[in-house]
Amino acid sequence: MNEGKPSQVYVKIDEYKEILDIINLIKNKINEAKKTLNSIYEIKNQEDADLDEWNSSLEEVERKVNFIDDSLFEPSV
Amino acid sequence: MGFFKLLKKNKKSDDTNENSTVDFPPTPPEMDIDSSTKNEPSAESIPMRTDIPEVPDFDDDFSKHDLPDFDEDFEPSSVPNFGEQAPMAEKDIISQVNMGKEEAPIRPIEHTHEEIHMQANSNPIPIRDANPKGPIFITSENFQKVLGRIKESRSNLKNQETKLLSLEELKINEDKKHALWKNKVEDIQRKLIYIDRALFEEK
Repeated sequence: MNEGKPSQVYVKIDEYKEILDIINLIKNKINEAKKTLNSIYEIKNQEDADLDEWNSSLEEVERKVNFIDDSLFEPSV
Repeated sequence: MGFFKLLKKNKKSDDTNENSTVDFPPTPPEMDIDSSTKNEPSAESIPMRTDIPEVPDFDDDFSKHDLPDFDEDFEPSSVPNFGEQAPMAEKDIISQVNMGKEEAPIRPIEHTHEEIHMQANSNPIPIRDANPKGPIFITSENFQKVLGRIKESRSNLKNQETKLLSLEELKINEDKKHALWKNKVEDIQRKLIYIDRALFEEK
């Protein structure tokens, strides 16, 4: 009857509506997870900026301490 | 004519002999053809027509035939002179143009092509029917694909769980390092205050 074309086998899907609802829920969860990940990225970027600022301030303190050290232990006559 | 009648009869008799079992419709009633054709005129008595015109020979030169002579003094009919008309006033021209527009009003364009295209894109035809009336079937090929995708998604989620655990560990280590860094900075601050006091405080 179907020459050259294999006959199709179909699988019955029970609880079709429930599956669609669950897929929609999963999609909503994925969107929420994406939003949370974006907020984590923003926090991480802010954290990196704060760390850079802390690093620069620490280097400034180091320079000042070195200046104090040089001034105290290598006095100019 | 009697000869044909005789042939017809012989043929019929042969057919009836060969197909004696087949039902045939009844034969039509016999007519006396000789008596019916007795009043018709014979071919020799019909008079021949003699007034048929002769067909001209088209191989001859066409110019040989006589054509009617045209009158050399022929003049075409002249265009009637309507005289000079006064120029139409501009006001009248505008009023006529406006009147033409009023007679055939322009149909307003309700939606442009872009608007229609955007409306078609913004209202896509729903493909899925969430409340089907009958049972739902999918092909076994698609079913196998769906099962494969579900398996891949589960393995991806497991990988994400392990990544999340490692991220949590990194976060705990980061918090510890932050605490250490804070303690060191506070220690530096205390020592700087001590030096400040030792150098510049009056005794």
